[in-house]
Amino acid sequence: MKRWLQEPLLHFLLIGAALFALFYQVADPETVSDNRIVISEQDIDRMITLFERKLQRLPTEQELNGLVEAHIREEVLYREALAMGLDQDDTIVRRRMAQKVEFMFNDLVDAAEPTDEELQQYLDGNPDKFIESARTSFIHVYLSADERGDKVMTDAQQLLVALNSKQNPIDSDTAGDPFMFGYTFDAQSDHQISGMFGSDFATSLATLAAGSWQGPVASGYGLHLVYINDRTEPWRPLLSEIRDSVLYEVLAERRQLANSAFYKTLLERYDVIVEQPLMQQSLVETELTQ
Amino acid sequence: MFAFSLGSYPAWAQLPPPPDKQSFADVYTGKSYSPYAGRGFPSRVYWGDTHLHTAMSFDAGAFGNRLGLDEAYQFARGDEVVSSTGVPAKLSRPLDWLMVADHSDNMGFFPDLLAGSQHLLSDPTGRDWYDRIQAGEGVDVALEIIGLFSQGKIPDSMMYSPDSMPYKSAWQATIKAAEKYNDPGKFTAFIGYEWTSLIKGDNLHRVVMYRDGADKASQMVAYTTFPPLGSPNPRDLWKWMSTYEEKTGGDVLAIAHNGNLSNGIMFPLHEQYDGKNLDKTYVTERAKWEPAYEVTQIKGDGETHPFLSPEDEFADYETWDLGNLDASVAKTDGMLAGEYAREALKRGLAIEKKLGTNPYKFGMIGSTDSHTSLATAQEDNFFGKHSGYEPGPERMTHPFMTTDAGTLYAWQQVSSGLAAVWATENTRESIFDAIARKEIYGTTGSRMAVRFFGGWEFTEQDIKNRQPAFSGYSKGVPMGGDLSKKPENARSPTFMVFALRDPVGANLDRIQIIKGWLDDKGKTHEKVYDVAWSGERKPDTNGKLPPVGNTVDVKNANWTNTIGASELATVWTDPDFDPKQKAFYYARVIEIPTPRWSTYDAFRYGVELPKDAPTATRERAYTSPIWYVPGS
Repeated sequence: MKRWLQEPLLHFLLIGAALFALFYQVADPETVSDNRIVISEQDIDRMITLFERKLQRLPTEQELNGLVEAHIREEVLYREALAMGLDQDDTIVRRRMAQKVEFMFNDLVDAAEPTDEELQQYLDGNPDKFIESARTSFIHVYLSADERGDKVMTDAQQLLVALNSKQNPIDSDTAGDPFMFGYTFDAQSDHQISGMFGSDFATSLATLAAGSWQGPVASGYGLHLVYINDRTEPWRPLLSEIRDSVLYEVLAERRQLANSAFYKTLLERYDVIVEQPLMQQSLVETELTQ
Repeated sequence: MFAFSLGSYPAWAQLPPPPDKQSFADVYTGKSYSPYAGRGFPSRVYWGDTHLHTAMSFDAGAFGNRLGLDEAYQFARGDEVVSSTGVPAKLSRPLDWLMVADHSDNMGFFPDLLAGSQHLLSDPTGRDWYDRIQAGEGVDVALEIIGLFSQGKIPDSMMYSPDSMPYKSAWQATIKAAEKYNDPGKFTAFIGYEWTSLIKGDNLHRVVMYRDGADKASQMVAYTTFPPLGSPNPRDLWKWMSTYEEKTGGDVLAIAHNGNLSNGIMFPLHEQYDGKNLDKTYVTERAKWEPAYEVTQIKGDGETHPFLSPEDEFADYETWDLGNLDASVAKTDGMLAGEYAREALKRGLAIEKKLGTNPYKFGMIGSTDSHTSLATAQEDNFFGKHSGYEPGPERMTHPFMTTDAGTLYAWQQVSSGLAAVWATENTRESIFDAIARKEIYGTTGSRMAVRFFGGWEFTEQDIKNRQPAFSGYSKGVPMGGDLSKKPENARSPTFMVFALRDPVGANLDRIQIIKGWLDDKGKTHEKVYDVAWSGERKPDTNGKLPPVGNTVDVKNANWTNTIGASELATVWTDPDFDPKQKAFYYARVIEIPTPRWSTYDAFRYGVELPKDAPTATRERAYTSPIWYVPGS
């Protein structure tokens, strides 16, 4: 199928044209002035179907008569309401009709599956959305603020020197205080580190050099001396690794674009006058660029 | 990789034929086999919520929730979203996992009603609800819908039957969203739903959690509570779960909640709500399908009640005891024993003695039950039970519910809770298995890390060890387990418990161990022991520990960590142990006082605190118990 045949916009325009045709037919002066109410066989069939769907059985004759009567009653009152202009200033009616149009075009966009080229293009165009956060592998020595009180900072500084000592380094496995989550962390994202140590700790960690003991770094619990083994900078995964996520984003974006494009074509048919010049300009521009 | 495959081929070809399913079943007994053997024990807590409602839930939608499944997951994983009432919302820290548990009854009804779907508007009731919601009377409509639902009086025409198209597509949408956001290793999204059984307003709700993905979960729609296709009887839910597992080869479990609104029928001692006696089937099925209980959430804390635990100074925590779910029937003292977790754990021992199985052998978690699509449980970031109570200057003073039983005010909503899971990795399988083996605990919103082990030979040295969890697992069992068989020479069980405060939260006041037991005459008892606490406090002559103090500055909604401890740890030996008596032990960790959400609201909006609202709260964690069974 040719691409333009799948264009949602084309669908909208066709539906729009059909609606207009219908409107002119219904709005023919002769029919409008007509005071007849005709309940067609199709109408009755529809009532039966609705009834059946609700109650899982056919209506009795009495029930059917009731349905028809209710329908006639609604029609009479509806026409009277129209004649009195009751549809004009009613928020509910207005909103409901606006919604009806929205629902008509909302779901038409799902038609075509994007190609891999299109997905790749989207990924290239929106790298930030799919970036993988940095990963840090580190070990730490913990000094409990509760245990050491005022001495915690001097203890940490002394320990740091000892850990980094070339001649006689001390063993980090036995240094410092016990820590519940352990001492060795592999390939942790900033989010994971924040979850265990708090976000200030995660932020500080990102500034430390790898390959030697650094710190002290404060967490909610006390001070930590940290040895970063390895840090991977944020990277962009390949399309093959995250195809589904890209696909969801592309479809969501298309839906939104199509919806605003449709609204734009409708809006273009109107001269919008807001009696406050600056606001009018910005309103129209916002709508058009969305 | 290539070389490995080639090299290993001959060896692979010589492997014995795969064992049949039966021989495997003997190896992997139960749903979750030991995760410790050969693959390392869990070293991390994963934080989540098993119980979040979106606009797909009919009542949430009626209350004005316009946020769907996408926003619920986006918010939970840490994105900023705009709430239904237009307030920007973001978590202080993302959750690690989430299960959206929309009500199965009428799932997807509300988005359709709001969208004005023809099949709903053609009905007078649907039309009436629609018009009134459009006219801004959503909260009244919601109360009406919940009232009708609680009493089983929703018109048939307003029920989505599970075999109808709209229901099926709502279930598919639920599954699809979980699949979309499930990102193993980073963020786990569970497929699930809430089975919202109400017996004349008495709450028997359960959430149902799937270990599985779309391939299995799609094969059957979620189970509902209205006959003929659904049932409000838990026995029927368990049957459905069993059918699901047989048909799909999948795994599901159920988590009950809000016994406090069940008017005594959540944890029966002798007979079910329908008069049917508890029997072997009931107790084995309940034990099999319900490994966890949601002990704390927005609609009240469910650990215990001051009437049941008069000796427990922390028992009256965020208590909701006005009546049942819709407060159509007022609460009486006689109902309370069938409602709270601690009493249920005790009843379980008595029932086990009589029927051979303990039906209430559950682990404990917290969850939100939020109906805003926003899983918020932190006091300074609380978005309320439903969209009618999202942040705003007047939300505290509204009556939440008024009936003949009395009035419950909106300030009484509890900013709680969270589910903490000790799992090996952040995946559906790993987290589900941890819940199934009960290596879980609940908190009222804070993220304190808590370890709890039971064994026969823990010593002070084990806690001083640099890796206390190593000795925890090698010398004992973690929370949720059964004590191993008592060695001949052992006199009393020992428990190693340690806790680390929330990295951005308040210090800890104390750790307590709560023991429940069954005496020789078949009577149950409980006792609360303070086992570790901050500072130099000494218990008085009655054994009562002096309070930790209070730094809450009510006017400025602030507090300081100048009291309490960031870590607490101890090894405790039961001083009153009797080897002939069935018993359970769980730990409760209590924070220092911090401002309650209402105090934050008063400060931020510059409004008066409601007269009866407490200014401070005592956040806490409840671990799953460890059980002692004589002779085993």
